[in-house]
Amino acid sequence: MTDAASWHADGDALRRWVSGTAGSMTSISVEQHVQRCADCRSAVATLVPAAPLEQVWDNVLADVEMPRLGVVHRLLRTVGVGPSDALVISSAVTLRFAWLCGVIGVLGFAVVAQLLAFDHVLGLFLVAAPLLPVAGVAAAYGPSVDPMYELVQVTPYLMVRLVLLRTASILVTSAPLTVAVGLLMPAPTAVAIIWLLPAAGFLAIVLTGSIWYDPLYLAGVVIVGWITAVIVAARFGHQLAVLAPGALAGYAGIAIVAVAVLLSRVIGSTPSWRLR
Amino acid sequence: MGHPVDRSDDDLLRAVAGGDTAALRVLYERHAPWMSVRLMRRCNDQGVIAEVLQDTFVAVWRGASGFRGDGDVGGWLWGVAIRRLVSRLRSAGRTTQFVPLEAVPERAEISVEERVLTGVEYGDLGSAMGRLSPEMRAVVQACVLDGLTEREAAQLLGVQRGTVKSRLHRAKAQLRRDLVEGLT
Repeated sequence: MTDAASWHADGDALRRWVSGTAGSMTSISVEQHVQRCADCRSAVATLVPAAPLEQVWDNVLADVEMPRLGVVHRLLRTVGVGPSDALVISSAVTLRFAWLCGVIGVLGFAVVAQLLAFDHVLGLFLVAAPLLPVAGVAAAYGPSVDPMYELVQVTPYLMVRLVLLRTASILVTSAPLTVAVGLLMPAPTAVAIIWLLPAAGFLAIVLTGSIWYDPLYLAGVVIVGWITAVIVAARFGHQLAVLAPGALAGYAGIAIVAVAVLLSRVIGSTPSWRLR
Repeated sequence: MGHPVDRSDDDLLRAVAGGDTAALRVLYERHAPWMSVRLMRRCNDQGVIAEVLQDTFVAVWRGASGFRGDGDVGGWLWGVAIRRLVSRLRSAGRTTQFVPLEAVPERAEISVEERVLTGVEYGDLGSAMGRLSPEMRAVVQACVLDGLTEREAAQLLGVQRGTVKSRLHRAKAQLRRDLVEGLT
């Protein structure tokens, strides 16, 4: 009986296995042996062309050295979002971390003011709520702020999909928080929900307007306009007038028109679209 | 620690778990060649093999700490690779076929080494295996030699799990019968 430790596959058998001309029994024997024998493994290594293996190694190294993707990315992947979608969404969420902190800060301030029975707290909420998504979306696009802007420009990615994914990711992170804070306000419960209508109108303006202008600039205009409107309404009547039925119809109208323009523009997409 | 080239596979794997790419490189140099050949004997698509090999070593990089440390690094690596092949072939929609070890007829004379290697002391396991139908030999190869579970073998071969079970059962019975007959 030959000692298993000192036995080695003969060169001919190894060569035939590597070239694919060995029969099944030889293949089985060689495979079982090579798995455990370092000497025969090195013998096999000299028989295998190096170039294809080097190419695979380059890919392995590239994968290995790529930074691990964030928690948000992995979470999205595990719930079945595709890799490129997950990257787009998570970059919108994680790179906007500062913005999210701002949202929490503003809303937290509103809650504290409410607990201290501070006057004008409803006004503060009214001012902040519809603007938070606008600020977030504006901060997520455009050459002035987007760290992924160049990457996005060279990526063959459907732009509408990118815009909608990022907008959705921003709404998902900010809207529930804002609704929750709104429910704490000393005002009709409807106010906690109804701010979504002006928010939708403003979002549509910023998204559609970004065809021609920097979204950051548009967001600035919208923010100043809204704050002015709330102050004017508070001074000459009641601040909730900005959420009166007539005004709400106006916001809805703006949103519908803006979305219609956006869609018609997307369908006949021209290269001048700034979001490209 | 010493130079990576002189270290044992177990040692290297521990270094890989600690984030050492040089150790991964040495492991790759030692194991990628034979693994690529062994994969080639099971799959006829070079692209798939390259992907499987890449996936395997990336998985090793991420999961090196999961190795039990029983010294059989080769066996562990092959376990990862063959399972990657199973899932690749499944996701490729079976346009790429699993190739059982049967394409080339065995030479008439079997060398002494080969007899010893296959553990044939009585009867003739080699020729008994040769008399199995290709389907049954593929099942024996997947379940016994590659160490796959019946479920994984079923995925690899594209048949029902029950089929794997019954083929393996019949293959073992036929081998036993042949070997006992070989004794007399």
